[in-house]
Amino acid sequence: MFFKRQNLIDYSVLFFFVLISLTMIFGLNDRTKVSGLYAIALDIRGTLNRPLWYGRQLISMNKEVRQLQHENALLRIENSEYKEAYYENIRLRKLLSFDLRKKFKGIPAKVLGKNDIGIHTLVIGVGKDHGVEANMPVVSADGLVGKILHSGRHTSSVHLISDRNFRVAVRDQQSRVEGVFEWTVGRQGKMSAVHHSVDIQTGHNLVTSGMSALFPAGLNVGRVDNVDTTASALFRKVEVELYVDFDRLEEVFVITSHTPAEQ
Amino acid sequence: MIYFIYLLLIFAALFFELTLAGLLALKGIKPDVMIIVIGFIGIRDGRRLATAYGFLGGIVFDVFSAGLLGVNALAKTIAAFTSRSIPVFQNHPALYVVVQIGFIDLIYNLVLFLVSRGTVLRAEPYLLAGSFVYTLFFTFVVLLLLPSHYLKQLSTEKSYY
Repeated sequence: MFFKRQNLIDYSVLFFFVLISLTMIFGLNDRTKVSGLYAIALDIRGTLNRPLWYGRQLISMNKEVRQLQHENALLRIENSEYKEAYYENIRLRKLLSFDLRKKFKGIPAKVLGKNDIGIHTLVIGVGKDHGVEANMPVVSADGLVGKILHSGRHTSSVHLISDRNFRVAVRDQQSRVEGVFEWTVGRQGKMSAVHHSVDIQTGHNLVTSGMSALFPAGLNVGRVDNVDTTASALFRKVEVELYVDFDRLEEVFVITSHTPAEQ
Repeated sequence: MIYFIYLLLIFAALFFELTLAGLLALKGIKPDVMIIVIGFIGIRDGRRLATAYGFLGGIVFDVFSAGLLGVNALAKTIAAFTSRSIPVFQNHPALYVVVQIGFIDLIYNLVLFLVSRGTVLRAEPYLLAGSFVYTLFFTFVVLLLLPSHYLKQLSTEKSYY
């Protein structure tokens, strides 16, 4: 009897709730009647979900930031490459304008390496196949770099003006005084064989004199940095600063012919 | 006191389903935590109480999900009434809990499918089946968190029968 009574209560409870549920399904689903209830529930649900939404936003923003940082890094690399190309373009344009102005025939070349031990040389990316031969002058947009020491098929070594064994006949463009340039240290050198009586001053521009068979006249070499007027010797001590910065040299120009190029 | 705790559990389950369950959803399939809660109530205190809480859980779910009012209430009420309909596995309390909750969930999904079939909010069978599997998995997770002596206590027969 007890068992049956419990079951009866259980089924009554079930029947009661099922009845309410069915009433709601068939009677209360007119949205206009329960819209207020839904609106309240929606507001509560929105409030509950807001922190979660912020959390999700934070996570997605984090992801976005990481992605943007990655893209930024790539763009910076790309930008750096473009800048590199831009500066290379400027340098090459300078070389080309130099070529036109001086009307030399020549070959542009990339600097592949530098050797400061023993004879100071550069390795450049042109050789015999490009028409490069020993003793050809090598210049940059700033001025004289050196001369070809050896040339292989595709590469050549350049004997730099910044080597103790290198000599070049120079002329002061203003005073027309001639002398011989020889390197001392860094970008410094000296102009020897300058007579005590000549008028040579600081800031004067030195160019190749053309007295040598190797170098055409008028190639920039350096600027007079200091003139020692107190020396009582027969020759003046003239210090020169080279125009070419050998540490930042990337492209050079090998002069293959001194004769003026056709217009 | 226990009625109040059950009420809190029902609302906690509702909160979970409205918020965090979305984060765990796999292709729209969510675990039905409220069924787990109702299942536990049914196993612990019998079908009468479970039916009442099933109805309550169903009705609040209907309101908050903005679905057809009464559909979930009906499905959960009927499903909760099947609590303890499976004989107790005395030596395997954990398995008993899983099977019992699985059975409740199966009934719930079946009722939901049948009731919602003719409405615009028709429950997709693959979603219901997916939810069934996911809910069982979740039940396992909950069981792992419960102490074993509590499981044994859960699976013993209640005196009111």
